[in-house]
Amino acid sequence: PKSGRKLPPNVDDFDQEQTEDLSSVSEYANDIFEYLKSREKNFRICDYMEKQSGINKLMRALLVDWMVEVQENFELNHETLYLSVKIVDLYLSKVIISKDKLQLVGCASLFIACKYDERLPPMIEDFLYVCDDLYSASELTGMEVKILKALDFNLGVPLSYRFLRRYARCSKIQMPLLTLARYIL
Amino acid sequence: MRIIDEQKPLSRASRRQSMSEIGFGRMETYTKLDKLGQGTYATVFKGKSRLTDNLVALKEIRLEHEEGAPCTAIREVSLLKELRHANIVTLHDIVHTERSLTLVFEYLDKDLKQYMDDRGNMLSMNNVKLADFGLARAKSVPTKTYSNEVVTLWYRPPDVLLGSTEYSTQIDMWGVGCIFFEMACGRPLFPGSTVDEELCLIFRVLGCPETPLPVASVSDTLLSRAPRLHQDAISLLTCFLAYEAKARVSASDGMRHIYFKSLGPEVHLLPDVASIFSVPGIQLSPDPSISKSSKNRRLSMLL
Repeated sequence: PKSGRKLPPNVDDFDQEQTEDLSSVSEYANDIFEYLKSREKNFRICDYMEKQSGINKLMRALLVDWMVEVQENFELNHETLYLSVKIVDLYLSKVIISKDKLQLVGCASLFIACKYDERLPPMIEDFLYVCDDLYSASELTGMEVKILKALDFNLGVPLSYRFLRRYARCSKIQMPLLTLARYIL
Repeated sequence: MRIIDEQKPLSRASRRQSMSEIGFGRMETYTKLDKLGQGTYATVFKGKSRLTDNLVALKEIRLEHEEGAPCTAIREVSLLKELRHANIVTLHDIVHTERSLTLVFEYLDKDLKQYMDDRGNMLSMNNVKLADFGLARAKSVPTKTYSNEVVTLWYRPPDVLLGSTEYSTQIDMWGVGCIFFEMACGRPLFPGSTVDEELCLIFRVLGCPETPLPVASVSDTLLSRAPRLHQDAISLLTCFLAYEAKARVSASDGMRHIYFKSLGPEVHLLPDVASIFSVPGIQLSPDPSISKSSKNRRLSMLL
């Protein structure tokens, strides 16, 4: 292997088999995942609900369900959804918010995640629309800046979804099993 | 229902607090000097840090737009926060103000062109550094398809010029080849002003993509345009300028090319943050093949 890494015996070098497929980035894939793994510890989430007085676990679950719906609606990448949920959790572990601002946090997190990763992020009006015009444009952009500041622009979060996809590809599991794993994740 | 308008942080990392006591993260710490340039979403000023007296570059990004914080700012800041390398501009500090965001960079006094032109007057050991990550993005596996309106036209590879959106790291290796040539010759290799013209200039050297010219004839053309480059350099250049992205040499293989052999094996063991000039015996020196009386005298950056 190019990077000089060692594989356990009896393990095929998956990346070596993929050198023909440019999108699999075989030359750098292993380094990328080593790097992501090394950064995981920076993004641990504490049990913040204890400190939150206005919201609870059920409300968070409802929010995430809604975010999944928005992802499907806008046809966003899965990574965008996972990143936005992570942004919500990182923000809520730092800042206490009230119940009526929870959806705004979810929406602004999606807004940021789209800008970070999507090729053509949806427009701000689309985000206001999926919130039933509950919030104004300035509220959304205001929350966006608050979140970016609270997270200090650290958006390069290693996502569980990326690891799942990597493991699935390397061990060549079939689509139904991967879909089940995605559901559990 | 209780509404908490003021959003109070639950806890603040003690590290950041002490950094803030020193003066990091505050605009008062930096004195704005001349305006250096203005882009679509940012203005760059020369500045001075009151903490260190060092010159800095202050990139002031306006956050108030119809669409909120610009994509470019979100990507550039989050990427730069992860990057620590001797050849990448250092982001020293970030200052948040009400309506804007100021990135505090180390001050680089020249762009590559000026740096090359001035080599004759001073023999410093300054590193060349990459800056401006406004159009960069984090890489994922597998790669998604991206926009094909990327990369400065002169350095855009033919597959992307012809509309490909399925590019990966090879997209940059074409540009590396173009800039390698430009550093040796002092003029750009394919300075097209439109996509069509850019393709024509490329075809003239490499032939058409369906019927590419043989390597020997491409090498001859390049050699006639860049007489300063020796055979090994021309061979490396043709590895960068492959039509097929797959056939283009990768960065790590490129570094193992015979052209770099004279630098010795130690350059391959350099830590990310170490300068190449920390390797004993490596320094900039004038190219002996160029006579000092020559009008277009340039000093070698090609080590």
